[in-house]
Amino acid sequence: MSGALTDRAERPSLLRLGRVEARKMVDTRAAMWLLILTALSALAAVVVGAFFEDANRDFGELFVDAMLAASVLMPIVPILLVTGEWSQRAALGTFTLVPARDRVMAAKLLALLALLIAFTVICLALSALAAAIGGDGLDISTADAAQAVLFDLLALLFGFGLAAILMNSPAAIVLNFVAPIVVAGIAAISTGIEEAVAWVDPSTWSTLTDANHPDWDKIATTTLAWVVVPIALGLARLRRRDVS
Amino acid sequence: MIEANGLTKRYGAQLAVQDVSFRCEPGTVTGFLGPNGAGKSTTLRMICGLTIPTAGEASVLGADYRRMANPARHVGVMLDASAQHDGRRGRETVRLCAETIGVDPGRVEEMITLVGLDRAAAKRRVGKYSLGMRQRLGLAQVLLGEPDVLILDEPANGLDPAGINWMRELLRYFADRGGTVLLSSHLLNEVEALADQLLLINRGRLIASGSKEELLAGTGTLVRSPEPERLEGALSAAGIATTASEKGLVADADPEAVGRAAHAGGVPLSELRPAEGAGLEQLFLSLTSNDAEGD
Repeated sequence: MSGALTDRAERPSLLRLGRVEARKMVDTRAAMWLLILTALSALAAVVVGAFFEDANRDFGELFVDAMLAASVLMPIVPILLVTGEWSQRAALGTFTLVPARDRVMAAKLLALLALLIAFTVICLALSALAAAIGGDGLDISTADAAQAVLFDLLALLFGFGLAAILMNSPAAIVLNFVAPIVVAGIAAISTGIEEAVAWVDPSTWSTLTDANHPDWDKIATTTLAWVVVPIALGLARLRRRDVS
Repeated sequence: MIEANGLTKRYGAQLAVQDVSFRCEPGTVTGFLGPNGAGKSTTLRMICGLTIPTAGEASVLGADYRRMANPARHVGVMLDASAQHDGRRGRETVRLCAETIGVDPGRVEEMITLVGLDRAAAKRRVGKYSLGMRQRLGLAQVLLGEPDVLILDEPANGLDPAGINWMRELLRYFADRGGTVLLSSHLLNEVEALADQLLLINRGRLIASGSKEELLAGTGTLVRSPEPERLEGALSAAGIATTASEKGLVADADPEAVGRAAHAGGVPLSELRPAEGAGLEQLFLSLTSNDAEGD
C-alpha cells in the first residue's frame, strides 16, 4: 500500500506547483498592488525618459531605465511570496499539501522566473512605444538589454534569499532596502575597506545597467554572498524547522 | 489507518511529547483529548511531517507522511483553521488547494456547498471570516482530495451548536464508510458523542487510551435521591464510596449494588443509572487534575 502512496507518478509536477505559486503572487490585494506599483514605476521611468529629459533616449536606453525602475520594488514580490507563508501561517497548509519543502521553494523560484519574463515583455512594450512616439529611435543593444534583465533577476533573487533565511516579512523588507546602505557605509570608512567590501557590495550589481563594462568577478562574488549563501542557509533552515 | 510509535518531541529542556504510541483503525473515530498545551498539536504535527520527532515514528496508511507523493489525495489534514491567508478570498483558497493536489476544479464549488458556505461567503476574503467559517473552509479543502483518513486539530472550535452537530454527522458518515478519523479537542463533550476510541494526553504523555466503553466502564453509578444526606449514609454503611457531582452522587459501584444499599437503608431514589457522561467527565478531570500548572 505504501508503495502506491509514495508513487512519484502521482506527485504534483513542479510546473503545477509553479502555477500555484504564480497564482499566489496575484490573488491577494497586497500582492496585486505591489505588481501594479512595480509596473507603474517602470512606466514612470519610460515616460520621464522619453518625454521630459533633454537628451532624448532610444528604445534600448528606455528599456534599461524601465527595468531599473522596476527593480526597486521587485524584490518585495519574492519577499511576500516566501514570508507570507509564515506571517499568514499559510505554511501549515502549503507544507501539509506538499511535504517536500524544497519543491515548494523551487516552485516559487519558477513563478518568479515567469514574473521576470512578464516584466521584461511589459518593459519592452512600454519602452518601444515611448521610443516610437517621443524617444530617439528604436535602437537597442542586445547585450545592454540582457544585462538589465540579469540585474532584475538578481534583484528578485536578493529578495528571495533574504526572505528564505529570515522567514519574516518586515525584517526581510527592511534588510532589502537597508543592507546596501549599510554596506556602502562600511565601504566609506577607508579606501582599503572599500576595495575589500566591493566584492560583496550589492551596488556592484548596478554596474550591469551602466554603460561601463560590468565587473563580472565582483558580480559573481556578491551574488555568492547575497544570493547563493542565503538561499542555501534558508533551505537548510526550512528543512528542519517546525511548521506551526 | 494511523500509527504512532514512541513519538517524542523535545524543545530544549522541555519534553513536549513523550513516548506516545497509538493506532487508529479504519471505520473509527478517535478522539484525542487533553487540556490546552498537553501536546496534542505537536503530536498531530509529527504525524503530518510538519515537526520532526526527536524520537519515534508515525505512519498514515502505512506510509511516512513526508514521503507521500500527493498526501492530500489520501489524508485530509486540518491542523489550524485560522492559519489561512487573510487577504485571499474563500473560493480562491480552495481553488489553490485543488490546483496543488490536481483535482478537478469542478469539485471546488461542490465542496464549498457541502460545507455550507454560500456564494457571498465564498467571495469574501478569509480575513473577514469568523472562526466557524474558517473551520468550514478548512474542511472544504480537507475533503477535496477524497481522502481515506482525516486528521483534524480542534475542528469544533468556533462552530455554533448547529455547526458542531453538522460536523459530527459528516465525520460519522465518513467513518461509517470505512474512513479513519483522528480529531483532537480540549472539550470533552465535543468528542464524547462522536468518538469510538479515546486517547487522553496530559503533559506530553498518553495517560489513557481505549474504546469509549472501556474507559467508561467502572466509572460508577449516578444516583439521586430527594434525601441526599440519608442516601450518602446508606451507601457508606454499605461500604460504597461516593463523590458529589453536579447531577447527583456518583457511587463507586454498579447500579444494582447501589440500589440494594439504598433499599436496605430505606432511602427513596429519584434516579439510578450508569454514570456515563459524568463518568467520562470525571475521568477526564481526574486524569488531568494533577496538573497544577496553567498552560
